[in-house]
Amino acid sequence: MTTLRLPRMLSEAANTDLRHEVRGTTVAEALASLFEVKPGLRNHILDDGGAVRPHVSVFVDGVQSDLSTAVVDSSEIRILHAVSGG
Amino acid sequence: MTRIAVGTEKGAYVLDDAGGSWDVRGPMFPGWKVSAFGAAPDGTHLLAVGSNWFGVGVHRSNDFVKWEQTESPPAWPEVGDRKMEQLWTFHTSGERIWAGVAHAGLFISHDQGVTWDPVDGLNEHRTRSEWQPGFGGLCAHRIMIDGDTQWVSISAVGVFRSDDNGSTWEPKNDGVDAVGLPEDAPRPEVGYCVHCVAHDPDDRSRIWRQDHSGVYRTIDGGDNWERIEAGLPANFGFVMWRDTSSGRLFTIPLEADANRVPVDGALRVYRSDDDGDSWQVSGNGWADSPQFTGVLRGAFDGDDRGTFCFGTTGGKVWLTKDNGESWSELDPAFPRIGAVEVFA
Repeated sequence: MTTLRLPRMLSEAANTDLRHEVRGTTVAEALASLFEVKPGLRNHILDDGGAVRPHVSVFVDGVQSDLSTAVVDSSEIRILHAVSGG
Repeated sequence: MTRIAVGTEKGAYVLDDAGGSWDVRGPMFPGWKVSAFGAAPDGTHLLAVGSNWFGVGVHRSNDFVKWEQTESPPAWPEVGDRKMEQLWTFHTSGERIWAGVAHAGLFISHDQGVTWDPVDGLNEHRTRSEWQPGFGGLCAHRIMIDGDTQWVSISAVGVFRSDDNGSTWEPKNDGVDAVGLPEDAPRPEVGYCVHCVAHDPDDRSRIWRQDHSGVYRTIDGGDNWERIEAGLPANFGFVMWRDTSSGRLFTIPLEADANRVPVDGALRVYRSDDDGDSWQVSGNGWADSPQFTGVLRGAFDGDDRGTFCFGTTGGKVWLTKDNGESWSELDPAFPRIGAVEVFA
């Protein structure tokens, strides 16, 4: 299982944990397994077209990544909100 | 006890009247824009959030303390270029809840706000390709229901009416000036920047309307509109409210689209006791000092029994408990306010 960490702002609003154990061989698959458990998160991480939201970043083991990035059990996926807003 | 919920750019707050002071609870959803409040048919509270980062969400609560995120908020199909930017309003009628959103559209829930279905008759309207966003985006922000007749207001597009329970819709803007067109230009079918509407629940064909281009009323459900601006210092603004018990109308004029603050900083609610034939400053209590702040369309609410309040873009809340005879500014200050709900 791969570890996925959410930003606090998102976990609190979604009434869910900061840390989740997910499965899959890519970020997209890992997120899909997260959305099976918490469907309401999908809308907050992906946009209407299914892409990562413009102001959301995905890191795998500290490297900025995308939905196609490969993950393994020892990977850590971090969902971050970009430095934007006011 | 009066309770006021305030939705701001950075969370929601609840104010409870403690008799001379206000107990403030919050922020709820810190960091999230709270764009709308509502109530499901079974009484469950609804709250919409939006975020520059994380998009739109709908939350439900029985006590306004513990909130549960719904799993399927209104969403556009993945195919296409529409974005779900904000949920602007909830409107509950009978066993159904309607939601107005941006990019502009209507959604309906039959299960207390848990799931939402698009209202294709409006969302796929034959004029859709001509809908263009205004400064505030392309948003469906007001919904009114009278049996099988429904009205929806879309900024920079206009008022639409359905006479067949939402299956088909027609623009209803005759008599309203289109924004950004010369006077001698042909009247377009859409392109009317309605900012807010209110109607008479005893005669729903009577509707009052604050537009980008002026203040109007209709007595025939929107087939024809006429200007009603006598006594107003400006005809721009975002508020139109009608108190059900007294029939009194309220609006808050702002100088112009290019300068969205009260004329000379004189923040005042204006009221009309003659269905909009004339307008006067509503009561007293207004600040002597300039108040260069605005009031947005979702930030005015009342209980229809004489208690009303509004929130400003400067984060202050104003309240009347005597149907607009006297107003007071509450002490707490908040981020920019876009939504207000009164529980009295």
